[in-house]
Amino acid sequence: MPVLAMRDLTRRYGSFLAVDSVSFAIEEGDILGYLGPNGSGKSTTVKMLTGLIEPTSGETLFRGRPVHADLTGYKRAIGYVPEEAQLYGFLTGWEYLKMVAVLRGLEPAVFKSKASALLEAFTLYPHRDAAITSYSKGMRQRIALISATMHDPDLLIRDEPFTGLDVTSSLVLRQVIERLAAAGKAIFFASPAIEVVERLRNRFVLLRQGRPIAAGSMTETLAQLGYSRLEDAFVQMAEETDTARTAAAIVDAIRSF
Amino acid sequence: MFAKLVEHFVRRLARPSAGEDGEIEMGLGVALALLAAPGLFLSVGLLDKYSTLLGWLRMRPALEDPFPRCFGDGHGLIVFSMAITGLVTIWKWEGLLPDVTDRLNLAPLPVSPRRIFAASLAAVARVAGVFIADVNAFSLFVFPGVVMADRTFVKFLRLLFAHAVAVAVASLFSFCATLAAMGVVLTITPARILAPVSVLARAGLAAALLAMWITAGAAPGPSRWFCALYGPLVGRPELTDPHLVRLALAGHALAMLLALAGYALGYARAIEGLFVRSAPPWRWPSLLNRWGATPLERAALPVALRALWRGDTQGLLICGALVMALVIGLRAGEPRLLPLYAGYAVVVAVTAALATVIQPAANWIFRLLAEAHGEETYRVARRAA
Repeated sequence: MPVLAMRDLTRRYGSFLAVDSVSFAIEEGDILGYLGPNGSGKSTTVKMLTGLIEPTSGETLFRGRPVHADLTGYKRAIGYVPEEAQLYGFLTGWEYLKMVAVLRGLEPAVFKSKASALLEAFTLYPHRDAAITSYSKGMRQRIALISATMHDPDLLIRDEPFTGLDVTSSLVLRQVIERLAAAGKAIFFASPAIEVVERLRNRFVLLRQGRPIAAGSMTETLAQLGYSRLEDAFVQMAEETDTARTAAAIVDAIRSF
Repeated sequence: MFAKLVEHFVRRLARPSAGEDGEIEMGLGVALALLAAPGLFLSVGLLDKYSTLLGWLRMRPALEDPFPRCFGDGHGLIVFSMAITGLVTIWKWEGLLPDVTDRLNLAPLPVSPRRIFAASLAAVARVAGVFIADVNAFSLFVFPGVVMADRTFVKFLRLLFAHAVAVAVASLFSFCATLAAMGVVLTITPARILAPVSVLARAGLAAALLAMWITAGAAPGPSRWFCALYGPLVGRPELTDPHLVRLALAGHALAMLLALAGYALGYARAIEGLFVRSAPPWRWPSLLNRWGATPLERAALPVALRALWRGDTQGLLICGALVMALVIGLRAGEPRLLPLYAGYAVVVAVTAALATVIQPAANWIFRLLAEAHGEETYRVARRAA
């Protein structure tokens, strides 16, 4: 039974169809990359997955049960890191993590040891008592990652997982994701960056204008579609843009003055 | 868990009232001190009227029964308390409702939305309680102390109790009425024009509260109802109108119910609108783009207006000053001087709004108009544009 399954999930904003009948499933140990150009409906899907917005139609199943049957239980089992770590600037890093831990029902002793270990591992321990407003973007991302993982979730949802992280943190995070998947956790991440999906090669869903146009395991699906690289498939199927012509137009405009 | 949520919302409400841009920043301590001070001055100012020593020096006969006279002064303190409570509610308007940060941080957690709403409401009530207590902290003791200085301790306690109840109920009424009005504005206003309508509604409410304060509640209204509570509470019901007492109790209960409904509706509307981009943002009327003698003036005017009205605080400042000037002008009984009052208010408000401009991107347009031939300004303008 999949950890998470989405069935014909649709979201409209007025007359605009942001996500159109998306269906996919994530098994234990899966890393599912949700790929698509900007405005293709990735973030809307993530917001529906995390309960930030309601779908117009369709349903999400968590371990075979509709998430609305036990929304609190579902949220207890997931960890979510948004694209922009928009945290409470007036709290310190430690206070923020403590608040999340209390609201997640973590025992104080468990929180203390886990938060300390994770802050140490993410090189944030010396800054734990500084106000978040003084943190860099990367530090905020790492705090958000710690808050989303310290309760050991079954499903980790990440929107743009490597945004704002430096090279070392990105490399560490990539290995963390792979190790969590190896430990049986399900990982879902949305990204417009092809190299991110390729690096974490497992399974992907390719999205265009709110609709999935390709899905499956990376190697098999690309072979079926007749592409050797994901980049080629992305450019041809998702973007609908002649990248060479666009690049030439930009260079012409730059050099015309 | 609930206590932690309430504590979190209280801290969120108590943070400095400015955004991260650092404009018009005021910490909680400064705000509480500023709000408490007028109550002290107003109460001490009554010494002149009630001090038996001053009365003896001036050969003024001592008051046999201070109660009837002190109710009028208590009314002044009630009006002050209502006005300040309402103004603080308006000032904190945005912070009372959830924003994107709340939604992104709290919605994915295993806490039911109802519990989050209840915690938010509890925090709002707690902070309102602190502000109400603060606004009336000095007057609570100084007013009965001044009035009953040479009377029995029991009379002092009676007036203290009556004054505490009257100002607390009146302040709570003002808070609830403002909250209810906020809910109505948020519920009935279309999303496209919500931002300017919200500012205008707040400015109108602020002006009404200030007008009530300036005129010391001369017009019959809720402040009179709550003043009527003094009589029964000090054991002299014959001194006040029982009909007004009934109005005070009924009005208070109704305001609380409406506030609860208004807050719930406003909360739901705020949550609903956080991630929905169905409505395009409000724009200044296109007529303004054609106003000006030169192309530079025509281009600069919309930018200048956007820079002046770049946030709710600035909009509130300008609208509030304008409406206040009109209220003062009308009260002065000289309608033909209204344009003068309004002009003065606009000049003061625009100066204040400009004084808070801190970003070069917002400043360059004014410098460009002031130093039309300055080369450096043109370079800055080109970069900013």
